[in-house]
Amino acid sequence: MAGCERYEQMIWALLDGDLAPEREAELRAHLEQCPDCRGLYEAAAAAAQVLREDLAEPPAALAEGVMARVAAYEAERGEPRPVQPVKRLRRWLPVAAAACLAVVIAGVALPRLKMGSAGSGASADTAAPQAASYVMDAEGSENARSADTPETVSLTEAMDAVAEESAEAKEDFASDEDGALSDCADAGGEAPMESAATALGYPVYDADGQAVGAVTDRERLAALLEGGTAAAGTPADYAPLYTLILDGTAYVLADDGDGGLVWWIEGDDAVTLSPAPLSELLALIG
Amino acid sequence: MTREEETAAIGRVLSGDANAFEALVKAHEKGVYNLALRMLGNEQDALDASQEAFFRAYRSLDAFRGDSRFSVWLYRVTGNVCLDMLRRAGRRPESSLTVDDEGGEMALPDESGDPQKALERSELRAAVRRGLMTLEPAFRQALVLRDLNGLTYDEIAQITGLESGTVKSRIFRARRKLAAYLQSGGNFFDAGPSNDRTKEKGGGDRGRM
Repeated sequence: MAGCERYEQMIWALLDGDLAPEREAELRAHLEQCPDCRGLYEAAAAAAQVLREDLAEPPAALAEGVMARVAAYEAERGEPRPVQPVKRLRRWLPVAAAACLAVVIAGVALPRLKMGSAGSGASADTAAPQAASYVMDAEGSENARSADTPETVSLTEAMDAVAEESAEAKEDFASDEDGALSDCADAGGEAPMESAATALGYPVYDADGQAVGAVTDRERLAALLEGGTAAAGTPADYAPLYTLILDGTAYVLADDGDGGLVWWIEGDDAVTLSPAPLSELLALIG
Repeated sequence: MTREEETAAIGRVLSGDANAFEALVKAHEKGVYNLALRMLGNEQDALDASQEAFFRAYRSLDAFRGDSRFSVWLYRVTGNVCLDMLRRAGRRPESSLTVDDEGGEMALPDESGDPQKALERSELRAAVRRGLMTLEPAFRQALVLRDLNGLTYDEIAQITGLESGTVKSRIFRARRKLAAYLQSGGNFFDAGPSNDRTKEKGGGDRGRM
């Protein structure tokens, strides 16, 4: 094929569909006369055609195997993306997730609750479940609590879990390793991230949705809430004063009308009466 | 799957919906699997490599910036998995990667209805498969990305980290070598100086580029 180098370049261009028509005519004229170039072209064209057209169907096991590995991977990571249902507070949600919820609640739930507290009991009754479902949606959980399945969680147990893993949680928060902050950004829209970033501890919001501080003394907080008894009525019967964000769950705190402290989980029906007066809790908010 | 649907599915996965990844697998498994099959030469390794590639893509999906096509990004991951497997196999005395010698896995219906032509096509496919495996893996990768996956030279340059001109010359060399393999080892192409009609079992030129 001495002297045929330029035709070889044209063969590659033709195979790439990148040869001008007049050059192609020139090449084809040459191929008629040159068996070496013709052989090269026919072999290369046949190979290209086989590569392009001779495709195998992927076995069904491919996608099945991938999704099985994905599921196993997510299970091993401890379900970091979907939030734990409230009934199983065994693992600490990173502080970032709690802060994320705080942003959401501050922006959405509390203004509604405020409306409820300022207005009739009936409107508070409808506002609370709405707020709760919004919160759960924001975390992508399929296990959104509903108002017709009341369920009380042990605050102490939850906080024990916090204590065990708080150091790890702070690392998670800093590195955003599991994407909690990204989730937060998606869920919270324009919610300011500064408030999330400064919300280490158990953030507390007032009924206007303003951050009023955070509780850092978990022993005293536990002592205040531990040993509570079922209070009369439902959340609709009380005016919410504060919302405390703990472990990704919003605890609404209210006056029982007599200086006592009652609390319930956002969206639940069951109200618990604390053995301690409200004033002791207020003293904890720093 | 349109590009918009693809972007939406990626967003759902990144926001925690792991199951949304399946649609992405389904949309791209054919390109990924065939790339791996051509790189590795047999179905079992291709299946393993494809699954590993999709799994790696899942874990590092947040690294996908959307500045290339998603398929191109996936092919990069796939290529890396395949090259890793080939390197590991190459370090062992007995290669664990085997090349299927049967044409069966790629059997396509023969439209001509001519048994002789069907046989020739089947032999041609087998020869292409063997011929590809005589190429250096990096050259094979470039050629397959171009002719099978239909990527542009620029996209292949992105994947391999080479200059576009270097990619082009690699692909030309790979095409020339593959064509020469088909001419020397087979009885398909009547031209070529070294065209003898006895075809070695297992396929002629085992040399490396």
